[in-house]
Amino acid sequence: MLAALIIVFREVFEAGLIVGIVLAVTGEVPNRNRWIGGGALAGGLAACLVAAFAGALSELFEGMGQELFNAAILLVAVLMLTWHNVWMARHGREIAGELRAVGQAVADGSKPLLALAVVVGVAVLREGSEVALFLYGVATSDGGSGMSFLAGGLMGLVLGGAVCLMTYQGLMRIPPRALFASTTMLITLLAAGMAAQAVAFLERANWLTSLDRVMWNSSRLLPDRSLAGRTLHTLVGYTDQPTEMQLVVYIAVIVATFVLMRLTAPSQGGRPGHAVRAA
Amino acid sequence: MPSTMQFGQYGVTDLLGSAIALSSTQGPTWAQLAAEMRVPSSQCAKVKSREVDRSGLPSSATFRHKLGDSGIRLRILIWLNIAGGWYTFVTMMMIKDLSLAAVCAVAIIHASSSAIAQDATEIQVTYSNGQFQPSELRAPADRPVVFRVKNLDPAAMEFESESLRVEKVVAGKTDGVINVRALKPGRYEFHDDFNDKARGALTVQ
Repeated sequence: MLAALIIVFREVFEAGLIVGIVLAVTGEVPNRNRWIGGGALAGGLAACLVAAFAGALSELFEGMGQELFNAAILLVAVLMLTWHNVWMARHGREIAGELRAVGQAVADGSKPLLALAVVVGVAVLREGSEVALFLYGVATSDGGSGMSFLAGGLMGLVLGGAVCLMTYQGLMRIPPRALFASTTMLITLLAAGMAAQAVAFLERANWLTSLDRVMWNSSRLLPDRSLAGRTLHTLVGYTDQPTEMQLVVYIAVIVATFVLMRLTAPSQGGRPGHAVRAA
Repeated sequence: MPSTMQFGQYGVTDLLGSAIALSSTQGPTWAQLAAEMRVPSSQCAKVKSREVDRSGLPSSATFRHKLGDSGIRLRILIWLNIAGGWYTFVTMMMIKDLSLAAVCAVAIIHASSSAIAQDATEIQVTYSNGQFQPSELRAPADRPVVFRVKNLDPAAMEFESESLRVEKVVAGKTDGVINVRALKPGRYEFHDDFNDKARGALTVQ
């Protein structure tokens, strides 16, 4: 039972962190619960579908279907996160200011909500499909131990939910003004980390073979599998053995995000304080 | 076939456009082509991407499009190109028959693939009753490794190894293919992430 709890918790943990961050980022945007909940639900359903067809998915692309599928959905999430950041650079300050209740802001606010709902969906889908496969395997095995395993798995799920709640509560303690700046950074790093993960999947599928030398090995110092390693892995894309390509893509995503934000930010506003004051 | 290899390296960039132009046409897929060339398709996939990467392209995605033309004609073209190399390619570009040129390029990458594909060491592992069979594996150093994990159990398993940097779910009663880059000598442990009792190791010498 404990084994099942740990296995499920390990998978749910990352999704919990991401959902917690997204909840904090969306703060008090109206209807956000419906969007995020919808994203999570869609992700969960998709996870069950993926789990049900895991065998068939694997066989695609000469046995590399799983890797390519993961890379593809991760890249979708990266795009959505980057787009969210760029959108927020343009419109976010109005919303972060006192205009939150104004009708226009509400209508606009649903656009980045869709992007973030997709991100939540992707996070739940990725981690959820493994949980579904694992729990299904357990449930179909011998009765007695199967049931206790299932209970452990469900407890793991609940604990994952607790991680999500704690992340959310923790981030909400940050004052709103500081939260906006820190979530932009957080989302940028989240996107860069996901892009690096996508690179790892493409490397495993042998679709990316250039710059595949491992840069360093810090698995003794901070292994990927440890709780701290996993947290950093999700938050900032930490890997104990990154390849050159992963590092290049990681930096490229961060640079691209900031360039895009700079380019699309309203010119008259300039700095964060100005637009809010003008409003 | 040194001339063919050269062709593959230098011709690919030029052919990118023609491969894209082909994307809408119907015909044999990569897998079918591979079968025709009697090369296991998984090896083709690997070598194909390597070839493309060497020419500085981002990925082999562009080359996964379907090819034009049917079987016999294709086979003739393949051999024609292996014989003709650059010369044939240039001629085809001159008569502006892009689709033919693209087919040739693909044929050449395939032709050279069998030579490079031999580099990878293939390792078969069976997973049944919650155990790896065999659990102690060996592979030569400095060569890529391809694991073929056959999961005979009804439940899914996850082949995972931190030192090999792999992690792959293999559904019940299916096979999983796991690619690993060339390795330095040493011992690399792996396990089933869904079942801590299932462990094994790969010794690289």
